[in-house]
Amino acid sequence: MIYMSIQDEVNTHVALGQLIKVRQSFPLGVPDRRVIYVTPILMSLLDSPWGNGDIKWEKRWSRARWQVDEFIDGLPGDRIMVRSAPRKKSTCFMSLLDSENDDIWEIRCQDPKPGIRIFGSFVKQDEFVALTALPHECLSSEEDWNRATQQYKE
Amino acid sequence: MTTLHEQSFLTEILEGKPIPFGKLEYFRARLRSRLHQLVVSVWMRQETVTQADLARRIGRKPEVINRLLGAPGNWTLYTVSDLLVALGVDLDKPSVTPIAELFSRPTQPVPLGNQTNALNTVARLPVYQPIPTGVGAAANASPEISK
Repeated sequence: MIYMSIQDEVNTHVALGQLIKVRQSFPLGVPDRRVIYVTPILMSLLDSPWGNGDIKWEKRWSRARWQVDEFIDGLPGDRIMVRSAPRKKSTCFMSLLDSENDDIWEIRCQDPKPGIRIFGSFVKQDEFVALTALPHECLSSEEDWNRATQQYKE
Repeated sequence: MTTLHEQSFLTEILEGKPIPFGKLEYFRARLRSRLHQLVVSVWMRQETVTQADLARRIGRKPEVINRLLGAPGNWTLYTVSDLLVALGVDLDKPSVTPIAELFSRPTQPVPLGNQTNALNTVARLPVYQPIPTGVGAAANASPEISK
């Protein structure tokens, strides 16, 4: 029997093209502080040109891309602001979803409103795998959040 | 040395072509974020200054300061100015660098928490005395960004 570590699993998915390591759009000659992998679909949304000609979505996804780049590059004082309690109104960068056992995190792209949420998990410190994303207007009820969590798990 | 990926992101900028709206938005968010990083790093170095102190100095509610320090989403130039003055500092000869030059820099390791950039130059204003605000002040700070 062969056991694979989570890292091996990620590497396998990268080799198969099922995950893509995001590279900063605008690096400044400093090493990346964090790593983020995304699915090809998510990558196509995060890569320019954004929004497929729709200026509203161009703005939303360009801002989301900046946040992903910022995650890689390092945040203020190299800290990630996280929400102190589930569903608490907050401007923080990331939040752990309700069920801590699931270890599902959201990157909270809040600007411009209503924003976008990118869902993923940490495979190790400073290494994040993002699998799904949803516009925040699709997450208005508890039911919506449960559906998003379920969709992420699948 | 720039890679093809980076060159394609910067094509319009480097070639003087019209810049797509999304890229303008990207760089707007980037500048705002860097100013936010600058303000937060100054605030974190000033260990005695609470969010309540900043709120009182610029006539805003502590929860507004909490939100502003948490993320730069709705920052304006006035926000930057107000927060810097409240912290007793000012931008000192901010400089700019051609984007093409930024890309030609060799990769250099940077110690954690010591990000340098052109905007990271601040000068302390001559008159600045932190004012104690009592026991209640610290309670106004959110655990997310309290010091």
